[in-house]
Amino acid sequence: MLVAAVATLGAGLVQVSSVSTRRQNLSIDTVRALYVAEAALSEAYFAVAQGRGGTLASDTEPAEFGGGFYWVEAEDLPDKQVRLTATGLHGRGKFTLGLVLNRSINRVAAMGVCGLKDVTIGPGAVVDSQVSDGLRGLLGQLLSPLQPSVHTNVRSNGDITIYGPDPLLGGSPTTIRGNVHAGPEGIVDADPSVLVTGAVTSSSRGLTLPTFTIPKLGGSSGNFTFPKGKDEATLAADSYFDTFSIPAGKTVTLQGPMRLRADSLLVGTGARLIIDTTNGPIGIYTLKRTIFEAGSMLDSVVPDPTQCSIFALTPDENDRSLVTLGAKGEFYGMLVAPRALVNIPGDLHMVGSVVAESLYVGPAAQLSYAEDLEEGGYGVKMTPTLISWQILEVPDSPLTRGPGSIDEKLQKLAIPTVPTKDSPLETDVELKYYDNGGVFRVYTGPVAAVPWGNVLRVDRVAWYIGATLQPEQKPSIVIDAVDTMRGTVDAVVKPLG
Amino acid sequence: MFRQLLDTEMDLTLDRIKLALMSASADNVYPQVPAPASESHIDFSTSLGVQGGVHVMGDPERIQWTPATAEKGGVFWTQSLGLPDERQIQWSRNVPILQNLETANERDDNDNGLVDEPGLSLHVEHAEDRELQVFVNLTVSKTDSRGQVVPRSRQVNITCRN
Repeated sequence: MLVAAVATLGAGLVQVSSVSTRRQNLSIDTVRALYVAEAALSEAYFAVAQGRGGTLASDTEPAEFGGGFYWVEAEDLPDKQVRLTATGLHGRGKFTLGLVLNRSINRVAAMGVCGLKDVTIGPGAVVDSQVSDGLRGLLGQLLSPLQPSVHTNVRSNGDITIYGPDPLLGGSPTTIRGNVHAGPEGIVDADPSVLVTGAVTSSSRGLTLPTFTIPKLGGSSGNFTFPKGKDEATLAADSYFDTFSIPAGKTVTLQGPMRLRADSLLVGTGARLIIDTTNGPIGIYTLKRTIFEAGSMLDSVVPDPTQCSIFALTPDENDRSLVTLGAKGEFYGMLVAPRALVNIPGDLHMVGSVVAESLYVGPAAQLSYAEDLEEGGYGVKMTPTLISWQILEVPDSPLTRGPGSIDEKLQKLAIPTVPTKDSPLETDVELKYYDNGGVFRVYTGPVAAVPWGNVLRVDRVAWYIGATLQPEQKPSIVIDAVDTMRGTVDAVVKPLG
Repeated sequence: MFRQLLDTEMDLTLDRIKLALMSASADNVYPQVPAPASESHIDFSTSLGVQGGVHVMGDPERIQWTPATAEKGGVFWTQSLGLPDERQIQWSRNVPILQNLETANERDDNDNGLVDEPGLSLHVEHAEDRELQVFVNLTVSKTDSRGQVVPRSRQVNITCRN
């Protein structure tokens, strides 16, 4: 009797213990499956950053990872969004996560009109926003100029001060067609007469910038000297000068694709700089001063802000630079000057985006934020941006159905698996690049056979799914990696701490 | 066996807290108390995904410690907080009023960087850029057959994904 009672009790204890162990194992397996699914999302994010679709493996051929298995389904959504659904399986655990990404966002341009430390807007200034009608290319841009929009953001990590016109003297009202966001501890100080069409708030978090690189361009040619007896000059290839100065009465046309690097860029009164991006983009990199004197001229031939960027960058984080856009004219592009006092006195109509350390927009100046820059822009990292992360129901599949471990199911159903590196659908690539001699070339074939030793700079990438070539991309993750590996950039400007 | 059940209760509770807060948006987590202070509850919303290009957040949720006796309470998860369809689920029954080895004396008795922290204590830390990390300290304790109180404590660190 006693033996039977003890045996029953013992059996009961063993049963309770094994239930508890099973619960723990299930919990451990589930947590492991969660981490496998997270790893799968990371792989898919990386694939999207490379310009691929994002689909990895499948439930009929899952990928192997850390003792578990996964697959990721990618679904393209409107507005260049992609939905990634990753299912991770480990032991008896199963977990599905969903991620929605913007395929590529220009985080720098998305800051709008920004002074990291402070922004001051003078009386009568107008800050608004424009967006193109979606037509791409030169003809479309020329036929359909940018249209007004209401999505401007004036931002700062500190204070934003906006002056209205003097009530005694009168004048046009200072107008911000959009939102004004001061920093977490900053304030927006606006005269009562100032018109702000959007919200006026303080942000809950500060703004941060990605790192920027400065191209080497083969070393400096000394100071730029204007050809004798001529009033006009054209630069149509990468150029590097200590000082690039345009004297009064002279005109220089920068003809893309090209990059100009100069310690100082000086455009004197009566001088003119023309930006011609008809055939390709233009990047202007300055390290010390960027001065357009009052009475100078700055003009963009093509009204496309995604094709030109001015970077006023100081490699030494203790240095500060000065940018004065005292020119007349219309400039389409980005101005990135995170360690500079940027002064836009008033005669220039700038269409694009501005990031400065301190930004001063003078009386009667007109700044138009170009929404097109959120999906484009020259010389900035375009990386996928997370919109939503969520836990989802595990989808029904032979591998997720019923009890048993994933290893048992794979064996029973005779389902093959693939290594992680072979999980993307895209295997072949079309790579457009400049070789070591600066010659533009196109490679088509397997990724593994890209002649990286002869690739100086990557221009564009397009992937094949089967025999179908996907749209061309400019994945900065690939371009930057090659730039860094080949040493074609010599300074990395870290974001402000 | 006794200790195994205690460990299981703690692990399952922490896993549930972890999964709930992983889906939270850093913008909707409240209160955001940094160490050495901490709170015994946290309010948040989780992502419901993207509909029509817009990120949709769910109804407010709360994880909190609620006293049952003078010394002990439970961890509850409340869904649709303050709404007509509010519902509450208990995740743990054996959480003491204070963490193991902690006494209410305005000092960090157990040397974990927190002062007078409750049995379920939550504090946050802002990592780079947008990341918000929530640190959860949980103590689960029970009295064994010999009348001894057996505590189990663990900390998890959760990064809000949204």
